[in-house]
Amino acid sequence: MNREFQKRHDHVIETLRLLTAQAHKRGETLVFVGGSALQAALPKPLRLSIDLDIAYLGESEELVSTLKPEYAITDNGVSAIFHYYRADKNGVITKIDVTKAMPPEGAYEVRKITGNGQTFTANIATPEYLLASKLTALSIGTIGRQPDQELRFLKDVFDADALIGLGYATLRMWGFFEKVCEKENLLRGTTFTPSQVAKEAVKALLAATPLHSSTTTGASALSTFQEYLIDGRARQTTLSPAFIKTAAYLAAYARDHSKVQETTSSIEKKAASSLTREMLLETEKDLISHGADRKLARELRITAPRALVYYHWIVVPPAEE
Amino acid sequence: MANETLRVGKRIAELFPGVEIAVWDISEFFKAFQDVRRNIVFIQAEKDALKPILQAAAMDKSFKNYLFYLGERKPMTVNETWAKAKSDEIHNVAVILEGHNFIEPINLPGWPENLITLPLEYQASEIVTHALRGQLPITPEEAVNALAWLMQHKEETGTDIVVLRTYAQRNYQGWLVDYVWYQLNRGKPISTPERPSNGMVMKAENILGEKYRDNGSRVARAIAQVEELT
Repeated sequence: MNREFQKRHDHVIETLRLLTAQAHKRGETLVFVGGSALQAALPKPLRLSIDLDIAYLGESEELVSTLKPEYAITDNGVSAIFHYYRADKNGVITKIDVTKAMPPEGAYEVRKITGNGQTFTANIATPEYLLASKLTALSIGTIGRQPDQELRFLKDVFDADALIGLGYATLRMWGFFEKVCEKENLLRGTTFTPSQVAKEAVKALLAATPLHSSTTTGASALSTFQEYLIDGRARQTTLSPAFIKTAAYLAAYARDHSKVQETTSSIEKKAASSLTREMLLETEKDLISHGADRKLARELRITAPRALVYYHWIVVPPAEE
Repeated sequence: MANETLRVGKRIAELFPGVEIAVWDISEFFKAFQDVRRNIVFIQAEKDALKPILQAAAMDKSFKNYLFYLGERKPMTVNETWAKAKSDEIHNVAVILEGHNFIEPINLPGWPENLITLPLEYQASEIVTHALRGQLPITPEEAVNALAWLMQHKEETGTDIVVLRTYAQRNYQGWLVDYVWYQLNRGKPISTPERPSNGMVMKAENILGEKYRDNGSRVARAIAQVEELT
């Protein structure tokens, strides 16, 4: 864990507290979204997040200016979705990204937030909505991230896996997924269906699974990612199951969104069953005979056998099983 | 095999259910090593599993007193710095080597299905193979001594020379076993004091034992010739 990042992470929460109080005074709604909100929504944060993403319908310039004079504020420009600011307090930088795209109804709630030694209440996006946003961001080539945003992609997968692990891949979440697709299509002027978004995300996840040399997740992204981790070390072998599992959930949605819950729970049951070497060798063989990436299949069998089960489900359609 | 070795094997097999893990140690023929002060655990698996095993073992708290070597051309350890700093806390050494598809491996009741051990004869040959490649904290001389010691003490250790010779041949060491066998049995009858003269069929080991000794004598002559040249 990087100490500098720890300081910045603490500052994100402190800045949120100040901005929430100001928004409240102005009678405007401010919702905490993005990676920092996600970490705040987890029972125990897993990684540091040094950016503050907020949805705010009022005048963002006015709101951010209230941080002065304690903070030196720089306006870093606007994009189609965000207005970017940089807040500097005694040399500790917080990047504040403000969007006017408010999460839909039911996608945020008032929660107690604890951090930097203080507890306060704020509107925060629900874990289901945050997971839906993360999943859409993985769809490179449609409404997701740009292909060169390796580190961000890695963080998205890490976060999505944590939320899936906590049981937030619910029907409600898939409903938000469809809404986020709709909103992003509107902003970009595109017409990708949620199924197309999910399929492209699966492709991007399989290509980026950090296992073998042909992967698109490079060593430098992995090494930088270590700095953000609160506990332990992320290795290629420990991260790859997160990629494959997230891909399996998206593949289940793409295959038949009306049965996504039953499908994912049946995949989970299969992956949780006891795995013998013989069974894993058979699975690997079957994957290769269906044209799967040979190297990925072998490496998963060795280092992440449960992920091999998810991978098999993605490559071999259940009807052919 | 020491209980501690079995514990190591079970843990690694549990961490890698998709990989066949062979585990063994030098406890059975420890006396053969002059310069080895403590038992060495050998872990063998397919090539692609070696580094992941090393990484997992280095991170596993149950191996905190272990120094792990990865059997590569130049032996290395991932936790070497740690090992130097805490050298008094290291009680065990383990070597991770390539090795799989063993013929007739041993899996005992109660073991994970992917955990095996090797017959003593295989172990001796594997030590020679990897010591010659410079992959062990054991010199080739010590490794050959261990092989000779095992052949010399075949009755006590239950070593089957035919099994040893066959496995060694697989590792391109058949000539070495023959040579050692020849040196150990020069002028001696093979295995039994008398050759059966009553029409009984000789034990396979005796027939082959003689063959190995003949081969060994040819190897000895070749070696002597080379020595003369140099």
